[in-house]
Amino acid sequence: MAVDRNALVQELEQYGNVVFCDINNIISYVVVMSDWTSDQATFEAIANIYIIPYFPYLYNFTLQDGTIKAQYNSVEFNS
Amino acid sequence: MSMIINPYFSNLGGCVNVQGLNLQVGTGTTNIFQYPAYGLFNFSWTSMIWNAAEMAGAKQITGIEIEIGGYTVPYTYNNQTIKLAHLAPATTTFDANPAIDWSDMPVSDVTIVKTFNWTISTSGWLVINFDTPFCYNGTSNLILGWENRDGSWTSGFGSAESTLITNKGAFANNDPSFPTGNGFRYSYRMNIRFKY
Repeated sequence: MAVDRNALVQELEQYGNVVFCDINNIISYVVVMSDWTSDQATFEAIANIYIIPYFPYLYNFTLQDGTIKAQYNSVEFNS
Repeated sequence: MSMIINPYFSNLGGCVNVQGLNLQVGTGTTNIFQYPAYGLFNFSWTSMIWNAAEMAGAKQITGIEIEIGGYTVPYTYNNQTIKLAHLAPATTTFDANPAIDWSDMPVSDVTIVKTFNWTISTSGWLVINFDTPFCYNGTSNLILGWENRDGSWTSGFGSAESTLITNKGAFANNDPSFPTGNGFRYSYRMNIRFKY
């Protein structure tokens, strides 16, 4: 099993433009959105369904001027 | 009277230069994506501190090696700058909101040791030889700054193997310009080998 990218993109596109949505490397999944019209909670609600089952740890999230950059990892560490 | 010149040992400007050695600090296995540059962002900054005791005496630092993994190679960061400076002995950690320009740190001898486009072609210990060596005095702490002014981001970025150590790291990320003001203090520091 893996992230259902097509379904994820379809959900995300309701709120903005998907710039990148894919595996970044063996332990991380990255989503970059532009013109995001909603909030972080909305994004995370979508991510919880599609990304979290495979990459459970939100490593980084920024929402700046409508641009989201989010990185989810498959492994955890203490910060 | 004759003088024996050892090509592997010299004294440059009062700085002991023993060529071909390295000092490794850190053996942790935590993947920190912010170090030394964060490929998710167009611009990023990182900084780290090593105590004098960890540096084990004065030395002419001619380069570093850092432990890199997880990149889709080749991966290139353009417009990278590495700075080294002496840090007053009493200051061993970053404050809660570290200034990106080090204005809150008692630094001296700030030196740009490397400006380059950095292409990562493999995983493991990667060598970065300095353009300008840094004469470390053996008594101050050492602070390193890494400025990523690439101006764009691309996927396939990885991380640096790092070690947990309280408040000796700092980072900041930003789009669309290089971060200013204050970054975030961090309790990880990338594993490093100082070449001297």
